[in-house]
Amino acid sequence: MILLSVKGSTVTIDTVLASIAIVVSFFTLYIEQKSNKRINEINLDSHFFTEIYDGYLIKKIPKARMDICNKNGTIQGVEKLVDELNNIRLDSVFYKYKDPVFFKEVAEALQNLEDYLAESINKTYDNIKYESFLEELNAKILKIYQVITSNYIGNKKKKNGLPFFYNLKK
Amino acid sequence: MKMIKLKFDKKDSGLAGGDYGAEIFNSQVKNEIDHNEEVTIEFPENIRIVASSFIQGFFSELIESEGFDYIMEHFTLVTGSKELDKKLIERIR
Repeated sequence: MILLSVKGSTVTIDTVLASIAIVVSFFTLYIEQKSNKRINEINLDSHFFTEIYDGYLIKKIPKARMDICNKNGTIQGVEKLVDELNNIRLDSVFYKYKDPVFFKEVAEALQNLEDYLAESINKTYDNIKYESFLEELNAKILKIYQVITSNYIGNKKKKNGLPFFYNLKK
Repeated sequence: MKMIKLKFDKKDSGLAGGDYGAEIFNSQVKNEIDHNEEVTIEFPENIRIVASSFIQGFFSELIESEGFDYIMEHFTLVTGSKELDKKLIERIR
């Protein structure tokens, strides 16, 4: 069937559909390549994350957290957790260059908890204050887990806050 | 070798905060040291925890002007425990 006839040349529906199919194919290929690249990046990140963070998130932080207690109104046993936070910070230095945004977030979350723990031993606590201390402590630990695990599953924050396709390298 | 004994509030056994560290350096150390002089900084025995923010703030000015190696070569940090002495060095980075 003839769709158009301009100055003697004709364009059929078949030709139009074939052209559209070619364009769609190229676009699909482009998206697939980008998608594969992203998956590969996530897989590579997952490897690094497993190497660096698994031990801390699964065992070391929970174990160190268990040392913390209230003895006669003073907080005891925070040293181990402070040590682990510093170990995580040092082990994360790799990301200072690979992913500075993530490193800054992790470093801030770690520092926040470390400072909180260091200052906690200068104060005295009754039961109510200790409950409140524990709540904040748990929230700060949770924040560290959230920062790390959200990067682990690929929910990286883009530097400029724009959707991914604005950040694709040209 | 110069020895400087730091002073803190007696009830404080934990030190934290970059600004606080810089403040202590400026008020108790800065004017007491000469360039290239070896210095021992002694923390009170009751100090149990020194957060990385404090020690980094404490040395921030010197690290910026002289570099990390200068700190390692010229400063010795002494606390009530050798374990904490070692940790302090690691926390400067």
